[in-house]
Amino acid sequence: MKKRIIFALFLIGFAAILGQIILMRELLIVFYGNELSTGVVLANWLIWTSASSLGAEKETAGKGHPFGGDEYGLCRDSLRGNDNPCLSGIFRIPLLELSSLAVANFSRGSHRPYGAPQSSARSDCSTVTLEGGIPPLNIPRRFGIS
Amino acid sequence: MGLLITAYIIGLAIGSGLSTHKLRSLSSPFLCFAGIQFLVAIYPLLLLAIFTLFSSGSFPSWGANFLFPLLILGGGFLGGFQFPLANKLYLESGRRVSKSAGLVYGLDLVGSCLGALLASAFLLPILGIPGTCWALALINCGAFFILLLHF
Repeated sequence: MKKRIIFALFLIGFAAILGQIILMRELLIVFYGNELSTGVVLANWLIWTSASSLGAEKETAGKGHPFGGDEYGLCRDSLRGNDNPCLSGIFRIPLLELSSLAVANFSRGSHRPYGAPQSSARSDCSTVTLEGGIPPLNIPRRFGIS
Repeated sequence: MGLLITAYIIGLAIGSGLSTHKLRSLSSPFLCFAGIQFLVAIYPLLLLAIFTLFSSGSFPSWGANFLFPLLILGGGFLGGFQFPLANKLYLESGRRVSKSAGLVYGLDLVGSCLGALLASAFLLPILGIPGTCWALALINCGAFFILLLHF
């Protein structure tokens, strides 16, 4: 049982990091990979991981597993899911990753973030580039801004 | 990005594995923790020196392909080595394993989240990379001196 749980944890880590790399790649494409978007994506990832970690700490506080006790049992219960097997840890991670990827793919093309590069061939746009890392701004001439 | 994350996680795995292996034989985990914190404090200055060397053209540009993953591996090693030590120190105050791991990991990640936001939104755009490296070194030196006062 112990070996199976260790193998399951290994697989969860493997799947989680694969999902993280793919999701970050998608989000970098959506936000054109500036450092602000990278920081926000990482910060969101970390804050939710910390929330689940602190939540798990609160959840296990009243379970009566003393120090040196059945920590593997706790892990096994968490992986199996107590009530609904579809909500167990094994199923939750890929479901979450798939839904995140779907949202990231949906955002492609429908969203033009700040700093998005646009085609310079368009005659109705003038490109203004400022120094200091500020991304180029494209201001349409038809609005009367020069 | 895959290579960089892999390098970081290899560093984490080596650091935490080594730390867990040495945990029982350490005479003073607190001193070891403070020593690792000192290394964490000088790590941004090492980065700054290497960035300066690369920008001066002293190193061939292809060297970055090997050196940057190694640097990230080193950062992961320090973090991985420190985490089990922090857990051990917290456990010594009579906490349970699950509570200690959850709390230490959760607080570590809250700090990481704030750091990611602060670095990308304020430190890097305002101070630039050299200023951010100095700021990180100062913050970690502050943590190191707090540890020394606690000792």
